[in-house]
Amino acid sequence: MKKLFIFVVLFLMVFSTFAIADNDDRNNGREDDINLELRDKGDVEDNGIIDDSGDVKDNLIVRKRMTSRLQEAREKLSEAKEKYMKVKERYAEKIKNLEKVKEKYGECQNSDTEDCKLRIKDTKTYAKEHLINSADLIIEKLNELKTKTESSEDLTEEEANEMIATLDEKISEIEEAKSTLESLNEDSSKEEIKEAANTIKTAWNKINLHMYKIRVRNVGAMMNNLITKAEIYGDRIELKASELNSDELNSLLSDYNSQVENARQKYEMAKEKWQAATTPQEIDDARKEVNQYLKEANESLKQSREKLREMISMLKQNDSEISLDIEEVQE
Amino acid sequence: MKKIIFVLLALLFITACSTSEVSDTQDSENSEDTGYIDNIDNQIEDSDLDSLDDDLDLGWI
Repeated sequence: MKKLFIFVVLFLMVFSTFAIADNDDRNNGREDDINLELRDKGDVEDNGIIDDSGDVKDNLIVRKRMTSRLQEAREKLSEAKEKYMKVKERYAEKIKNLEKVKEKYGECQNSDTEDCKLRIKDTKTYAKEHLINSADLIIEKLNELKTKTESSEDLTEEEANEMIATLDEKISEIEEAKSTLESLNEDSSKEEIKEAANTIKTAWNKINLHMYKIRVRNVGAMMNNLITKAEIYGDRIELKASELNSDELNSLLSDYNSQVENARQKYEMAKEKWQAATTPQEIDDARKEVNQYLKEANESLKQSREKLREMISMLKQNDSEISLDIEEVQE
Repeated sequence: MKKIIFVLLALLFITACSTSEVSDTQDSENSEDTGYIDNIDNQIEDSDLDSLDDDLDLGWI
């Protein structure tokens, strides 16, 4: 009886995890009622992406980066995220204490008591520790973004390499600034501590802007592939629409193409802005416009998706359909 | 009996691993399925370390 009970419990445990895995997979963004499904690979002929001459149209292919380094980076991404979270938690705990130290330090400013002298020395030690923790936090944030960039399929190998080199350079800069902190001690002057804090702060402000540009380039690469896919769907619908000769479908297709075209235009405008911005100041100046263009491009993609759903429903009503598979070439 | 328990535990381990893998890749797959970038604001602007600038101000020393 006991053995049977153990067996039943284990059986339920195993099958409950099957159910979780299955549920996660099904909820993985697949909420569309028409089940828009993009597969990683598809049969070229079935996808309808062969032109009349029999050649695969280059513009009907979404290029995806797939290298052994990318595969390795994907595996490391959750590790990098976890490491950053740990450093951040430790930092958050220490910063609470810094507030208390700051308060007590203020009380000791005009006092010559032994207790206050000791407290001032402790504050300097604490300030050094705080600056080192801040540098560690920045380094882990950069490492997380580096792993994310390495694991991006949407970037080309050249783009990824360039961005990774920038991130490595920034990591070195902050590590160098961190090494100057090591010389600080309880006998360091206020000026020395303030100068060290200023070095880290200045480095961070510049790095933060470079990190923004790298995030934007990652988002841009993802968006470029989404727009290319939307353009491919438009071409496929157009072929079907010419066969059906439906005014309603043609009107929807016209709206769809306008939305996709608008997304492409806004994306190109954003790209032009971020490419031109190289210095931290230029990046900061371009920031507002780049964000605006990318959001507008994304909104157009969202609206075009609604039109795509309607067009696919309409095609189904007319016993017609298009393939939603896109050939993704792995570079 | 021991063999059955061993096999079930092995299955439990394998499915647990596959569940975590699914959640790891979920972020990148969402935009592919929806056709647009779901959380674009968060992906462009990371407010995670916004307070760092103030934290690094040690002018009070």
